[in-house]
Amino acid sequence: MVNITQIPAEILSLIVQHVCQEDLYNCALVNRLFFQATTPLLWRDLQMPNDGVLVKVITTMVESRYALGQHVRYVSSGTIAVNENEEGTVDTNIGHRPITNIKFQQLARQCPHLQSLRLGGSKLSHRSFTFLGRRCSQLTKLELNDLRSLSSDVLSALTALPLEDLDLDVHILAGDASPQWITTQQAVMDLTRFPRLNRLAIHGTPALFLHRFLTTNSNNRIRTTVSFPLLSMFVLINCSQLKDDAIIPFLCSQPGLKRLILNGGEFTDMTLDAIIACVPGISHLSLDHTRTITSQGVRRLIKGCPSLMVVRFYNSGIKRIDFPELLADNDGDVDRNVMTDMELSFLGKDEINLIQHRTHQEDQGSKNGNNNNDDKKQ
Amino acid sequence: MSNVRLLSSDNEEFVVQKEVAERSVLIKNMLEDVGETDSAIPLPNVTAKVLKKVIEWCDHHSSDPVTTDETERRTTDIDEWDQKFMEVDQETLFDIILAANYLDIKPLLDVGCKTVANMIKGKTAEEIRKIFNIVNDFTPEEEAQIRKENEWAEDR
Repeated sequence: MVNITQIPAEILSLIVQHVCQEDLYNCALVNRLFFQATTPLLWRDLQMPNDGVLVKVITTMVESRYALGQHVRYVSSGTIAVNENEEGTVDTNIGHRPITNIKFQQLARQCPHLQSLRLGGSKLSHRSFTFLGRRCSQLTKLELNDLRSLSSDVLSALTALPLEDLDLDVHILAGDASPQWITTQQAVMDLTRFPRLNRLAIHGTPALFLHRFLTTNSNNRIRTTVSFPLLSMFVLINCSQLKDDAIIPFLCSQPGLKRLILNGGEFTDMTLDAIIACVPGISHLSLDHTRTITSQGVRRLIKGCPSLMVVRFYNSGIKRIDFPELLADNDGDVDRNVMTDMELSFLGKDEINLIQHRTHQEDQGSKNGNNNNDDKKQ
Repeated sequence: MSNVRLLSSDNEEFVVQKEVAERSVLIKNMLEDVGETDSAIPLPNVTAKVLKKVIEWCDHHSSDPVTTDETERRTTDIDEWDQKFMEVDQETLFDIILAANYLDIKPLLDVGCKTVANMIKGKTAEEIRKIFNIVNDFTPEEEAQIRKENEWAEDR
């Protein structure tokens, strides 16, 4: 009689793929066969609520005789809970000390197959990043939060990694001094040495960094210093001093962009026109907190970018009345009862279609008008 | 529509439409290798009782599109017909899973694995042992060690 203990281990592995983490834990305790089938899955994705738990788990990996770290592919620690307290300073520590350099190095040593890492990193040394760069040669996704005090050469330790997704939260807020490390020429140059990047996100971007990263001014002609051939998503959050002259040359060098998030900048409709000219295949665009753009610019953008699915501009001063075609009922009359002075923060696929379609119709309409006249003549 | 003859391990012959039999990648490859043939294909790892069930499943799903979508495969949803089909005793269930594995019928293997996974869900280790008649072969020290090493995964 066939019993579950007589089926091959690889089939038991297929079965336990369909259960959740807590069920996996119970399965691991059933017997040796179940333990072997579940351990790789149980240790595959370490999502830790905070660094305290992560440190305990790293200690377990070091002390275990089962080489548990071999199974680890994804590690993330800490919810990004940024709570501004009354003094205006920020507490990200959630009651736990951030991971130490020793623990970080143990993590890198234990997990050679690590593919994705999300972690706070304010106190990590260049040596720790060198460990990561040497030991975790399969790492493609790296998200580091709270990067206020690093040395300027940390990124150079990572350039051997096949990174495709890099997310750096340098964590400056209004009134904070800029973190020194990221504004150095070396950090900027190192950041350009990740040619496989598909997604690059930088949060809390110091102006000096932006200027250095996006452009150099040589021979009085502005040109970009960086180009990522595979980049499809570019994110700058809190880029408070981002102006046209910095972002436009960068956009022109990245024609493959599909998603672009530039929040809180000071660029104008000129940047939107540059998107039409240089990145016409863009599908998702977010321009929240950008008070320097106008509805005319947004309208041109929508007409000029046929692949656009979503455009956001929360708190950017654009109003519903700026797009009267969206307020009109079926007869084309604008409903006077709608609060036309309300802010508009988002246009989805349907609205974008409508705006593009209306324009198209108007163009067609004028042509049809001519045709009608011809008909009458005949 | 041409037919294919299949021979179970206990020498029972089944005549099935080629299209139905080809849900099995093993049989499909064999047919491609030998070309047109009148002789029955021997399946020495599958009894008549199990082969009958497998053919019933292949017949019902003969026109399904081949899905390679991993995310679709990952869910534990099983369609109603398959749920009814899998309402069998444990021995038959594992026999079907082994046959699906041997005959290389991935969607049937998935349905079988999901059915067993659903039996495991929400159960303690002791309850799982009881359901499948499994002997705990850990020493108390080993069990305590595994509990300790994996406690972070509990209750999440």
